Amino acid sequence: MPSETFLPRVNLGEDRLVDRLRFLGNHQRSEISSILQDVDRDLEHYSSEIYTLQAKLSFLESQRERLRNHKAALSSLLSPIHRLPNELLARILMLAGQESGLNSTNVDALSVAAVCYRWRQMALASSSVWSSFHIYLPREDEDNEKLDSLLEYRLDLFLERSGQRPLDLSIQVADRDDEHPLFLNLTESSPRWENLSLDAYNDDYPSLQSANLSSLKTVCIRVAEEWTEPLQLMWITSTKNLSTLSSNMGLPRNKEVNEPLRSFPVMHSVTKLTFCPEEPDFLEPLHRFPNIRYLGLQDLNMAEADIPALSHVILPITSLDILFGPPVAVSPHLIELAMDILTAPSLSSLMITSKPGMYTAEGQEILINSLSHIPSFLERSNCMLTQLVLKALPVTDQCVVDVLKHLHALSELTVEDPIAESDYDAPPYLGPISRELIESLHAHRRSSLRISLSPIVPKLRSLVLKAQSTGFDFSSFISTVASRWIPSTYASMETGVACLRSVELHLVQEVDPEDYLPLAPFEASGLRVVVKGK
Amino acid sequence: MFTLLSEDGISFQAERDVLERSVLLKNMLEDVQDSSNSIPLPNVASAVLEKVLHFCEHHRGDPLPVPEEDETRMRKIVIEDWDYDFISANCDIVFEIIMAANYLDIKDLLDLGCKYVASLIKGKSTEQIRELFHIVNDLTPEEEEKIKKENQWAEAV
Repeated sequence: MPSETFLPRVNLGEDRLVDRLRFLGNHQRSEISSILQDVDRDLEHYSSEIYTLQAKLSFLESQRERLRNHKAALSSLLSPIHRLPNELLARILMLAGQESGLNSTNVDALSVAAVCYRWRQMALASSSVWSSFHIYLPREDEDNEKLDSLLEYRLDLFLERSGQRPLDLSIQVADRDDEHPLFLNLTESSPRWENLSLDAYNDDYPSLQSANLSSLKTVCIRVAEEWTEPLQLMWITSTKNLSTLSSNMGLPRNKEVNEPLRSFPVMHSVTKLTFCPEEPDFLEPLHRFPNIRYLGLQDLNMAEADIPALSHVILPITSLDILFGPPVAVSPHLIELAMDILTAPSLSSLMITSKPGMYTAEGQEILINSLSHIPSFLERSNCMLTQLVLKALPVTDQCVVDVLKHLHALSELTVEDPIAESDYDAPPYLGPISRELIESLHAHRRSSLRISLSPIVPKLRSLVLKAQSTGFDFSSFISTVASRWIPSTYASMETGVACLRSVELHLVQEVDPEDYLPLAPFEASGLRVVVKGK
Repeated sequence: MFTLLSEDGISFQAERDVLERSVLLKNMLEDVQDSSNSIPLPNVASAVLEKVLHFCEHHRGDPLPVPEEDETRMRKIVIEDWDYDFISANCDIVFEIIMAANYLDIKDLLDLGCKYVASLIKGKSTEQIRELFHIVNDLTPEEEEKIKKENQWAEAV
């Protein structure tokens, strides 16, 4: 609407005026000219009024925007994260920045450092936000000058902002003829490397040979499966504080023809070791690591059908972790090898895990047979095994119970069924968790798998079952758990059965909470109960 | 059994081994012989205290985190199934739980809360983080310019 001061001169909507002036004489022409002048003046006024109102509208819109921003800023102050004290926010930012992928569009550390003034100041002041990152160094044919330059910029940024803090690096290197230039940049920071994960085609990196790796504590090296040469790993020998070494391949052996390997030294600092045993003297590399407490063995790499006669290796390990894929044809099993060769008097924890995959009926037989070597290993080692984890093994319940019968000191037991595959064409699905297995764990009842009245695993305190079969028998589970809830010290001593303190049951079917209500009184009295369904 | 009194005057009862997950309460209980007096917790609301006690009950008997392992333990975002269900079911008060865990000195709960929030942040863009936590961008144009340079990747790709 026009403002109050503006009154239009021309009266619109008067059709009669147009009719009257249609026949033009001099007088009419003059009148029309006069009206047109008034129209022009009115148009100017209208335009002027519109500009004024537009300016006012623009001002009002701007004020509204400012008010909205002000409201957002005020509301933001009420946001719970603003109430966190600096030390807690710094902890969260440090965690969020871990393993930032430098090749990603969203780099976690950069993202948190750009949120607001407070977060930016805290992130820039906290070297730990920048000290853990993953970098991918591409092949020559993937090279992109602009991306390379940005990657270099980011790498420099992280190395600078992480200050003097030890670095936690994950480096993935594509197969290329030469070392990526940025690999050299990285090795300049090698005195700060603390944890290194190297995922590469091979371990042939000349710049590592001259790198200062004095702070390195953990090395995890994964090379391509196609790489058939023995790993050299000579660069590792310059480390003084290396405590963890993990490789998806075999380790260098002194008997290799390769000259430098003869000087591979004994590494006293290593306490955690994972590798893949290789023919002909599978566990020979262990002699170079006399102080290991944790041993991880991965897929056995051999072609012969029989394990050659090898002398026993006595190890001070407390934990043994065996990981393998479905066995092929007639190959002896990694478990069998470990159980027949190793002696571990201090062993307290044993974990056996199968990778997902299809087992042939023969493969299952090999696996079941290999588990039967565990009792003789335990007897020879004379160890007190307190923790056993069996993950995804396609074996029978009987097979597991037979092992458990020998574990008188076991306090923690975890059994996971293998994941059933729909297109499992060879053998029928086989998992150890059954009603009979659970009944065998009952404190004072026999089962079809356990003839004796005396309990197996009498010191059991923690039980974790992850079952894949449907139709889980909850009543036998509740009965077994109830039989082992013996909070009275006197009763526990009298029966020789320890009080169960924690049970976890994971099912693939839906769980009706009503079914497990009988466990509620035990839970209220201190038993930790987790029952999870689909 | 001991009685805790929340900020808003609600009483909660719990056994000694549950309360001893908290270093603060453990130290207080060493001086308390008589369990008939309630322990006031002026910084913890009842809704939060209830959740904190639920967590402590579930974890009673677990080994307490070793301080020397803090750094390594803290740096890996690995959350156990039960813990994840617990914290995600209470995500609307996760910051209150973090602050209560900090005040009561319950290391594993503090760890859990911080790791959960960090896991919410990971993989998100700056704008998504702002939206998630209702944070206003109050950076100066100079800072914005620097940040723009740090984040040139998307254009190059």
